[in-house]
Amino acid sequence: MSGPATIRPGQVDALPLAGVRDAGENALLERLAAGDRGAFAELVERYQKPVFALAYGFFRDRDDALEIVQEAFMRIHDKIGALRPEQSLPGWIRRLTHNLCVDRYRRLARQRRRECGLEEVPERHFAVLDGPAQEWGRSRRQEAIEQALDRLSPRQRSVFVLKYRQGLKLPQVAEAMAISLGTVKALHHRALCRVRRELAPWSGGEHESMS
Amino acid sequence: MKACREFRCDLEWLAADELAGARRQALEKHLGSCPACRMELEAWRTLLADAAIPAAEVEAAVAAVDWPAVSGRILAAAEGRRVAARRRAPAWSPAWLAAAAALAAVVGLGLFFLGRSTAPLVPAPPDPQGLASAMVHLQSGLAREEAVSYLQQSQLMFVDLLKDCPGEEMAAMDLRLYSRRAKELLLHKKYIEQSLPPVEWLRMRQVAERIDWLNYEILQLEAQGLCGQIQRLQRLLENERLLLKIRLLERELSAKPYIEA
Ligand SMILES: [Zn+2]
Repeated sequence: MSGPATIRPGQVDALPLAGVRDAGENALLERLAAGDRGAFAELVERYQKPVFALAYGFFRDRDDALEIVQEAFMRIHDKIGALRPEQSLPGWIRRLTHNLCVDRYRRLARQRRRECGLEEVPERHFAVLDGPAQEWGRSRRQEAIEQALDRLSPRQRSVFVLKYRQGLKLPQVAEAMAISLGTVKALHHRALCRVRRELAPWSGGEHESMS
Repeated sequence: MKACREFRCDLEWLAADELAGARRQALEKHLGSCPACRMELEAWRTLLADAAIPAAEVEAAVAAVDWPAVSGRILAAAEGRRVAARRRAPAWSPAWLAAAAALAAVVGLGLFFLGRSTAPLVPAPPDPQGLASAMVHLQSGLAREEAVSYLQQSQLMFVDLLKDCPGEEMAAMDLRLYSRRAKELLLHKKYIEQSLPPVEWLRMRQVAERIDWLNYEILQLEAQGLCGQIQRLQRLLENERLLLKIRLLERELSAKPYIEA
């Protein structure tokens, strides 16, 4: 049923930003509007992996991404009626998912800030219930990058994720975030400079993890 | 000839593959003769390469997920919302069940059904053919979905509560909103109490009691010095690990089959 994993962070086609609705999409939406439960199941089947991949790019954590998947489809279920005829379904799903990621990121960041000193806070609230949190070994430099990314503002992080983990070009990032290209560029610049500044200690003599 | 400093701004965009036209050409020409800028470009590229998530990692993450279970949970929760929405509509809830029960009686299974439904609602073995057992399943399913929806609402509220007051004062309107949500949850719980299968209700009660207790705390919040009070509740929430407990139970209930079709 669910085929082999083929979703890649740069695979924009999985959830295109915009575009003309195809006939299949229209038919699916019509069935959804008519309250066809099979249609919703089909929608879930079709988009759960792309939604997961998008969220994974944001959090680099399987459980966070799965929470987003659940939340996103609940939101889709409740709001699908509000989709305007000119909107593309996958584009809408992408935006909705992205907004949820930003919300969650804000929430986690606030928790971290409030409880600085207690490093495992996100774990305590959103604990991993069924599986190890980190299934992939990471080099220390990557760990440091991840930490630097965690300290970006939500908008800087959005730009970064959409550009480098979703493979969007900056004008598309601007469209996805509904902000101007100039703002995106400024955010991009600040995000990169900040990450680089925080990584400065790592770029010195540390070569062991530069594989 | 431009100085390196003027090209440096463009290096970031070249590394990001967002530079085109004459500026790109000029920069590439400069790079041909400037080792310092080449090194700087390399530094940007290394950073971006390290920050990217390898495709294999995403593929592994996708592959590690039990997708049928994920879609099952989503569909069950969606069904729960639909049911909850219908139940909230006054014309629907008890009347619908009564009508279904009447139908069962007409079909000739009435006695059997009544016998089953007055007994504690232990989930019957799957028996898609039998209307009676289907009704028991339906009732358990409805109750379970109601419970899941209650747990979800509680989570939403507590997550919001955890987000509030990182420093700034909360508005009186927020306070009213919290009170309203707390009251709704207190009411909502009473409804679940009557209908959940006993084994599950036992677990539910432990969690629900803590939720109730927090809701009563919320109802006692006062507009004066609100953030201090909220922060106290946040500590209580954290110490109790209440969100975790709620989520565990929600997952457990969501994992149960809704209705045998
Ligand atoms: Zn130069």
